[in-house]
Amino acid sequence: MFLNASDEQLARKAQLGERDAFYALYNRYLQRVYNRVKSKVPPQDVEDVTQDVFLAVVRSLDSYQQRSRFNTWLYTIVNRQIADFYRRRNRSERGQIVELDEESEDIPSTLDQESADQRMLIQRAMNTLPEHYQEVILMRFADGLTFAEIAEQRGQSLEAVKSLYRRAMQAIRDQLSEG
Amino acid sequence: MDNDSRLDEKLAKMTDAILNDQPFDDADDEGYRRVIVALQQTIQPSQRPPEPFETRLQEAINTEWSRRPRRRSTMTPTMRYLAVAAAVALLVVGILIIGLPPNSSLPVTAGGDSLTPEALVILLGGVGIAAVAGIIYWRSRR
Repeated sequence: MFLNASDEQLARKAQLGERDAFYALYNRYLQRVYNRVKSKVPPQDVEDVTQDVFLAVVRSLDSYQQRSRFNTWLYTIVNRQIADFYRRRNRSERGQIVELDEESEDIPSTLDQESADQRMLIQRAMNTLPEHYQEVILMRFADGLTFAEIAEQRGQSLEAVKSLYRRAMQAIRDQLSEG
Repeated sequence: MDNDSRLDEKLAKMTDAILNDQPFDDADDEGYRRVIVALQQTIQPSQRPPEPFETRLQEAINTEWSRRPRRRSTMTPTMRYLAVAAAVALLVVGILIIGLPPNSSLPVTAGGDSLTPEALVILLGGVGIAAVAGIIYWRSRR
């Protein structure tokens, strides 16, 4: 029904109260949002944060203005909800985080560890990267976009995107080797 | 092509190969290969959320959706600007026409008949309102 509609057209219809249009957007983005959240928060909290994202989207749908791309607006909400999650967690579980961090000091810089350890290392490294580095990595890995598609979405040349990606990978590799 | 550009290309190709489960052997870049594999294992782009979670999520969305206030205006900011611009234009035309000398008339019909300024204001007002209504209708159908 909405196959040919752009994200922005669907968002407009959803703003006017069409729930089906909202669900068309939901189906387009659920997996990407879920994967983005999964790349940044512990596994046991992924579902809660993903739910928070979609509820925040419903609540703030009217504030979306067609001047920007819908996915840019959506990913801002994803980032905000992840930041809120860490703020809440820091407030309520400060002791536990220190314990976790101290434990992780013993982890060597290799990636051949248990998947949980690896996930934690990657998440920590990702969270320290500048936003534009995180974004290009997430677009390639979580959204599954090709470099050409990333270039189109970001309005940059293919060469510029590959260069940005290389700098992001260098940064994450350096973070992991420091770990 | 300088060293950075070569590395840009190589990293992009290596990433594409690993994400598509194709071999890419380059002993010089073992560090990058490990990072890419680790990212792939952590993020797993093809993974869909578990079904029970999706069911729960949709229920929560439906509840939240039913709480949404009905939107008062169906006009986007662009439509509002258009409506305001049309209204201002009409006002200016109206003022200009009313400002004409009392006995003047404007030949506007094909047969050379004339309209009084008052009639012209009413005519233009009608056309303006119809234009704004048409724009709103057209936008709402997109």
